[in-house]
Amino acid sequence: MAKLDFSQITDQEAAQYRIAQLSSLKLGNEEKDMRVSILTTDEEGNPKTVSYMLSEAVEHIRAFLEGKPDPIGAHEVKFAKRCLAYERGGRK
Amino acid sequence: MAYALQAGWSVIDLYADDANKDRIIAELKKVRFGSLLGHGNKGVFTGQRQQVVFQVGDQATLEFCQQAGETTLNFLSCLMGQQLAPWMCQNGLGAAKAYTEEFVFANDPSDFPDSVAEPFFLSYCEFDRVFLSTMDPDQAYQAELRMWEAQIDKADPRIKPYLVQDYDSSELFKKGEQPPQPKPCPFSKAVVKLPGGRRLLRWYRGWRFRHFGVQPGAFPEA
Repeated sequence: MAKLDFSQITDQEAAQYRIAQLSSLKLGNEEKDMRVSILTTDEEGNPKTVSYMLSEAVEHIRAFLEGKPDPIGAHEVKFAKRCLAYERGGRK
Repeated sequence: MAYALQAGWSVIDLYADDANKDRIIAELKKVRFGSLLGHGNKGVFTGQRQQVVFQVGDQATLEFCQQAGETTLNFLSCLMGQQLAPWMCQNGLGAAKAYTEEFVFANDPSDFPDSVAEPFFLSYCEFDRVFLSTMDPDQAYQAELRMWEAQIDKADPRIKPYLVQDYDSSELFKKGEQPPQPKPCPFSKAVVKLPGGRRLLRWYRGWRFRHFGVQPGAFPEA
């Protein structure tokens, strides 16, 4: 079972946290950029891959917040919720 | 593998084309512990070229589990903690550690093995290391969680959310215990890497499977 309780953290709050974090990093200039890949399978085991640069993540997060279908933005927000919960000691 | 050998275990390393369903299951039947790295989803775990190795409802998977005794498996794979790992333990497998969501990692492709990727794999491998010392899945799982926490607490902010994600979704399932009920997740798996990390990418895209047999007399019977 998940160890962190992030049920009270909204998408908006998590998104702002991650956007602020990433915006302060100057990715690709002073900080190394990252490539993010989604490497999994579908339910039958067939490969399913998505890739993006971390410097593009803010754009995806904003798209997700605007209600556009953006799985990358959704991922980033989900991860940010857990990170916020961890930092706040939000254990179950 | 070097650690396991030094600790007195015999090791069989199935890699690339050797990592096929028949060989994996055949070898796993002989051993006490397996560490398995491959792609997956909620109900499926795949080997080289996405060949399905274990799957919920699959007869070969079921028969393996029924004969598995106290065998413990540590899976580095997306999502299979939601269905496959608990199903395997409900059908006889001793213990399985798996991730209930996407296993995420970061790396710097220009500098492998790099300090960015290390915290993810150190944490995953902590389960292996402690199990090889104790033959106790509970101790191994707790040690893995402590390692995740140690790595998160000193993490670069670029990768911290991904470390927390892996920590939060790491789960231990055991035979005879009611499995936890993880939240359903609508997303697939994410892997993060810095530009240039070819070796880690190969490590991850290529399918690697290790399992360990205990040397007679190396450890007391569990």
